[in-house]
Amino acid sequence: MNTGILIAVLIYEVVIILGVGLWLAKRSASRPHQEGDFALAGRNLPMPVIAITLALTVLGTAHILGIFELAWFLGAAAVWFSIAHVILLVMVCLSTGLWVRRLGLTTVPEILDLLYGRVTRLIVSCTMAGVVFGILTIETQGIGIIISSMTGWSIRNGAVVGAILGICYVVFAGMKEVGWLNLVNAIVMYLGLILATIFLAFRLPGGNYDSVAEYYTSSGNDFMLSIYGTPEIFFAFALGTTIAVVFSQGINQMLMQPCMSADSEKTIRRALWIAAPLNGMFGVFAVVIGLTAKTVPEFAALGPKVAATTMLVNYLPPWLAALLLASFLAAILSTFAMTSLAPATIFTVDIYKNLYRPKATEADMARVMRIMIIILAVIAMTVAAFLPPILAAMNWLFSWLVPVFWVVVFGLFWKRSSAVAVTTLVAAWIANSAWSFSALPQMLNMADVPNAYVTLAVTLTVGIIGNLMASGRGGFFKAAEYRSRLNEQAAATAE
Amino acid sequence: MFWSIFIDSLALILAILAVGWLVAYLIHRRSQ
Repeated sequence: MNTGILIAVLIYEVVIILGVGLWLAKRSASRPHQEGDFALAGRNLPMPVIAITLALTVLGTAHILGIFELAWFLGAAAVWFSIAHVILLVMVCLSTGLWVRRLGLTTVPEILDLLYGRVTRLIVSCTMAGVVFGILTIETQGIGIIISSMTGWSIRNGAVVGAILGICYVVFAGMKEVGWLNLVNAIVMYLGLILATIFLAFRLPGGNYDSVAEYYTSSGNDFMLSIYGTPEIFFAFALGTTIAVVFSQGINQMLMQPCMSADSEKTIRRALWIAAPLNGMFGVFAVVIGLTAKTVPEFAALGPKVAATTMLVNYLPPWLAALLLASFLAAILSTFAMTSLAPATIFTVDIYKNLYRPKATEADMARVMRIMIIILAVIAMTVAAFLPPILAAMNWLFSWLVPVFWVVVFGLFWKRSSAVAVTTLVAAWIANSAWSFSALPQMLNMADVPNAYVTLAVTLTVGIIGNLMASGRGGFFKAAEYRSRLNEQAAATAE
Repeated sequence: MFWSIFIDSLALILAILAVGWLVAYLIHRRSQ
């Protein structure tokens, strides 16, 4: 057990959570609450906070520990998980984030209600909440891995402690706290990661990474050093993860929420220039560290999940190990916060207020959200105990949302037919279930084809043919309803 | 090893940003 590092990390988390959280709570207590305050930070977050939040919201366990784990098997090509997020951020900041903001709504299921009605909204709400909850279980596993690397405890026990920290982190002040704290964490984590990569090199023979490269080339594994890997890796992982990430997170609550909190569209577009490289280049450092861990026998013996983090705890100077792990943990906690806040928001707005108590006040909704966050975290701890491979699990979760993205795009720009929307969603989900749980992939000799390809193919086929054949109202952005909405919003802002 | 992965990734990211901006610009021009 590395007590010194553990204590330093816990002090960092507690000072940030208690210190900054209490300060923010005191500040907002002196102002009257507005509708949407808890979840959306009053829709006035400035550009640096939006950029860092966009970059860091999707920089959790998968980017750090998932890449460490996958570099073990695929080498440098594991960086494609980060590259996929660069493409995603380009799409969010230049299209989907802007479209969603123009609609002026709170949750993505509300967009579906606007385009297609209640049934579509409800079935998508359930699926989205399930997917984001699945990501929450991965984040919980991630917290467990970090704590395990410092203490020697099992990942499971680490997850319990970490989930409690996560609940404290988010319950204090909701979105606004996550926004500002992300800025601090991002700076610390990036500096820590760059320093770690430098210091790690000094611990290796020759003071550089040549010995690591030599390890892979001498064992005939040159492909591990190229970000493009082999053609099989490129097709199955690089492109597969790009499709899964771009068409699921492009319309996912977790990224839409910061866009809805921005003070203008220009802010979102400008944020891209910070968010995309920040998120993308992170993967480079993670991959180098992951590749190195496998070449050191004492850490390689621990297996792909904890080899890299344990190596960092042992090889880095204690102050740097503590800083780095504390900032990783904070980054994972911020994703933990978003992935518990997002389904809690969907439940509170779409189910509690929409179906059960339409007259619920902002205070009622804040209370329900806090209760939901705790319930979700407790269930997540239990599921995390099964320790699924991180990036494989993420890509599988993402494949469920691919049809949601396209149904929204068709509805905004082409045609609004509820029948086609529901048929497309259900067809894609049936295909995904069959691909995941039956022998169909093996029967078709396509066992290596990732689920995201399957859901994309079914979505586009059913969606395009369906919209060509069916009648329905035109795309929402071309409709008179949209123009009158814009006029209402402009009038409301002027008041 | 580090620098080759770093440079390849940075080049790819910049290319993606450039393509993204170009596509957005062309779509914006077409809709005007």
